[in-house]
Amino acid sequence: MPLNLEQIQFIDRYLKNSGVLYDDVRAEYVDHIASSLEAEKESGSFDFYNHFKNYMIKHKTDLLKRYEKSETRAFWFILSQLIKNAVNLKVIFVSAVVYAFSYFGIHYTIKQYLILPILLLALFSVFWMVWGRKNIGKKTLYQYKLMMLIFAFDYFSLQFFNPNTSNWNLYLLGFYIWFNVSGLYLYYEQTQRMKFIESVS
Amino acid sequence: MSNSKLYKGSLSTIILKLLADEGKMYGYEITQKVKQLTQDELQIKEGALYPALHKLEADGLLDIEVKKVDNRLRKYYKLTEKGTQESIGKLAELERYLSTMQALLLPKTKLSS
Repeated sequence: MPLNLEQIQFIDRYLKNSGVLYDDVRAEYVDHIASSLEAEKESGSFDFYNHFKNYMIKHKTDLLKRYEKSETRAFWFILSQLIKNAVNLKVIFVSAVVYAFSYFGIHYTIKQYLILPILLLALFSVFWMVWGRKNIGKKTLYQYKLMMLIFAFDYFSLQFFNPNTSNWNLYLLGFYIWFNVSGLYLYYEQTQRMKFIESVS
Repeated sequence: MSNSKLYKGSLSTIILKLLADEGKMYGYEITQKVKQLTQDELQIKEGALYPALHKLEADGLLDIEVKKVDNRLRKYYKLTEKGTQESIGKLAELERYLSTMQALLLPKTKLSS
């Protein structure tokens, strides 16, 4: 006999409070624990809280240790996907178009090319804050790592824009656009892939 | 996982083989199937299973399908085309390993058979 919704939500909340923050990973752990408890339920007398407590005493340390490793692996996976996506034809094409618009649109007015990256970073920061606030606890591991990576890159690369060397800015702007388009494309791919993830809580 | 050091390196192969045989499976089902097939000799802990599944998924060997079952989401794994090829290769590799080990550890048995 399956666990009821309240019991499932209890497991979900417990894992969330234990630091399993990402919906996709947590949903999988919830299903595993629930399936295990249901098997025990079928085999005899069953007290949900007691059985759950015993289960967590036995498995919690190992589970959380592996979860941390998954986080590190997710970072490297996302970075490799980002690099892989950078040579995707669609990404190169969109980047080239954005770059061309930036070049012809801005070159003759603001030669230092500072306005576009600053504007993009500002927009991105606002998006991040609004999205992050709305989706706390409702994000997937890969999406979160990706957002952090792009945000860190944007913030870091801004330090290198130099108002006195327009050629350098030109190269940097190209790389900046390329990286961000690749990141946004990957984010879109991840969103499409993970669109089924919904919170059970 | 019990007897961890010996079995650890074979976890991916075990998963790929099971999925090749069963089509699609979810995490808990995999642990139970392994337990059943090995008569409780090998028990895969969830802490080892899920990172292995996620790695295979990230490598493009597994595809996923999610369904809502009994008030919760259930993630099923199945082999991609690349995963099917990989499982064949990994099994062949494991068979070679086993036969080498057998030749080393049980030479008499091999000669007599």
